[in-house]
Amino acid sequence: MQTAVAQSSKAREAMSFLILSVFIWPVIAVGFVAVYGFAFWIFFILSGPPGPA
Amino acid sequence: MANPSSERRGLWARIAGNSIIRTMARPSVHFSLAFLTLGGFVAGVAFWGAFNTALEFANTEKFCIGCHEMRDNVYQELQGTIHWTNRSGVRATCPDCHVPHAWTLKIARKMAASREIYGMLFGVIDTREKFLAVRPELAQHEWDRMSANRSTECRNCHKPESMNFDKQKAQAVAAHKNQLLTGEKTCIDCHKGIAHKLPNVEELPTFE
Repeated sequence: MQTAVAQSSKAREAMSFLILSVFIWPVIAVGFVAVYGFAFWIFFILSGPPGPA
Repeated sequence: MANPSSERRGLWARIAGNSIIRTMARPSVHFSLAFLTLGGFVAGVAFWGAFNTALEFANTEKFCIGCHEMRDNVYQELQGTIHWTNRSGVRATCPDCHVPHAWTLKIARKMAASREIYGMLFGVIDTREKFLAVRPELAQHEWDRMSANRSTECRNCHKPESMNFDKQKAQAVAAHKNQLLTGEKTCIDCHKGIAHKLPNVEELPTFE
């Protein structure tokens, strides 16, 4: 089994870490905020503009 | 594990079999938890700073008048009003009045601006004539919004409790005492067209 699951090389792990931390998670975070904002916008279109904050 | 020699693998199998994807899904062999959490922490701080910087830049007048629709119409009209120059030298910029300050509402407004990007790309109000034709509708949107939130953006600066009624005209004192202080009305209900020109009343959607 240990031979089938080849160990990741250090370079590949470092590359994975960089891709995740500078690209994938930031894109997911911005996407989450965008979806959050769109959801409120759509809600306000249906319900009318919001009351005092 | 997928057989690397297989040439007819589906898309999902190819993604799942990708060496980088497999590395991402597995515990690290070479890096300690301390290093990985530190890396995530540093990346998070950088992201938060960049996000807020971008959000603040999108909340500047420079950004607003980056499109000629804003620069040539409403921005020109603001100049010459009391929200542009006055004795005290304090002035209001576009987002002070037109972008809610509460975070959720601000993000919702930023996303709503996707409609303005559409308008810019397709030239919905790219001439003065087109702008004037839809001004009553656009003005009504802002009046409805400010009426619903009881002039929250005005009241970020203007506080009824800080008004010195001795310095107001008798007519203003009467209106403020009878309607503002009783909560019956808020700023926008009377003070329309104070920072930009008013549309023709006959063209308003609410005009009967």
